[in-house]
Amino acid sequence: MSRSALAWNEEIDREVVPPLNIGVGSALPASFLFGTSKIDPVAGWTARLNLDSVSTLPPAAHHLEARDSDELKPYGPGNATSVQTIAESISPGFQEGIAHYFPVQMATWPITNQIAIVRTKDRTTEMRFRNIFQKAIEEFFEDGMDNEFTAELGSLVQKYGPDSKYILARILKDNTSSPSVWAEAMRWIGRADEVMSSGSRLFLLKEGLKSQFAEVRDGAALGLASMDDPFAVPYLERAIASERVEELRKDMKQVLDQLRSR
Amino acid sequence: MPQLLVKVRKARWYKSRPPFVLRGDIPADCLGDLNTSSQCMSVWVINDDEGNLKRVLCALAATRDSIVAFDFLLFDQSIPDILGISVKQTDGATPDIHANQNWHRDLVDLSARKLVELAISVFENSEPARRYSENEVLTMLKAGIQRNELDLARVKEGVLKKVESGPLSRVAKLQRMSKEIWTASKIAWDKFVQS
Repeated sequence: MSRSALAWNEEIDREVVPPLNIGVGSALPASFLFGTSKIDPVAGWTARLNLDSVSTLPPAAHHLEARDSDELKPYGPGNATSVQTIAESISPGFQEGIAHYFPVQMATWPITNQIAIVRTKDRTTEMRFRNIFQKAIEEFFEDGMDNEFTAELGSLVQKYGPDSKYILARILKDNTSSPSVWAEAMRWIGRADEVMSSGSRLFLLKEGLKSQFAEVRDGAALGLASMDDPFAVPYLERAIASERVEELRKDMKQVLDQLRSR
Repeated sequence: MPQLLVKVRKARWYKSRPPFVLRGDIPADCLGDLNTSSQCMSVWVINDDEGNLKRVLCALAATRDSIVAFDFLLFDQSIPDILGISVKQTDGATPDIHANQNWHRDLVDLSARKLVELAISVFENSEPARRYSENEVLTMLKAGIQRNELDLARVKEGVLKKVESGPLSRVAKLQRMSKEIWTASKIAWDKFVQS
């Protein structure tokens, strides 16, 4: 299904996909779930299953979301895949009526026909994150010192769990927040092992290395140094190869040496 | 000649200026590192041979809430003199009493114009900002504590804890990662069974 075939409802800011007839255990084109131009979940879209028409999903599963761009690659547009087993914890976001699942396995989940899918952004949660980034512009950051911004960010990340990763990635990508605030966030993410998984932290820091702002890239490199995770080596190598600021490139190499020596 | 040390964020002092910053000018964010209070700015004297550099860095790192990389700039002690900025010996406020009494200075009676002139002069006449990594800072703190240079009652709990535990070993990291994977799998399985 092409993107142009989708109806767009400006008022409710949703993309409404017409119902599709599929049989039990039948294949569903991935392009139906994700559209042709929205494969990257960082772009902010989620696919929601209408529970009324799905009889055998877990009771809480009214929201199906693709979670990781790497996982998504094989399911690109034009490919067909069975409706995935949706097996993941219910995020704290569920308290607000949204439960997130991601397709980790390809086992077929029996689904009756007539699924209506609505892609929607969880704007309320995202606004909470955006607000603290906005507020933090006024704040003065000192290395190694606790501050209000990271305290609030920590609380939100704890509350929204795995969703935070995608929300933060979206905010980082759209360049609407101050680079200084992001630099501080990157440093914090590197140390936030109590509230974020290493995978999520690595994902965000990797994105930070691609920022157009040297300050943010430096923060990301520092975050990776704090994480001290050798899995970051390929990302750093790529970042060093494309880094234009000589001093920053040297600092990144220092981090790379540290990680290689682990 | 001895140099003066000031804490900075290294990325703000990269020598490559953004295109909108013309020759003779500097990025505005540099000013964010020259913090003043009551028209004074805190700096530290570093000997010619940098023999006291690590001790001063250790003292400053010990004032923090957590152990992170340490960025700083060294600039010539003559810069404040040339700009007519007075330098006064005052006590520092770190857990290292010896460092506080011997190497702390205040640049006093600073006006906004003088501060900008200082920032420009430091930017143009100093070596690039330097960085000690988190692990190097940790090693310095450990050494400082072993040599009894720090008043531990004034060192934050988070710092002391990290000094005691040290960085996580690779095995410990793998253990933590396995635990994360196990927890996520268990939750997924439970949901699957429930449904």
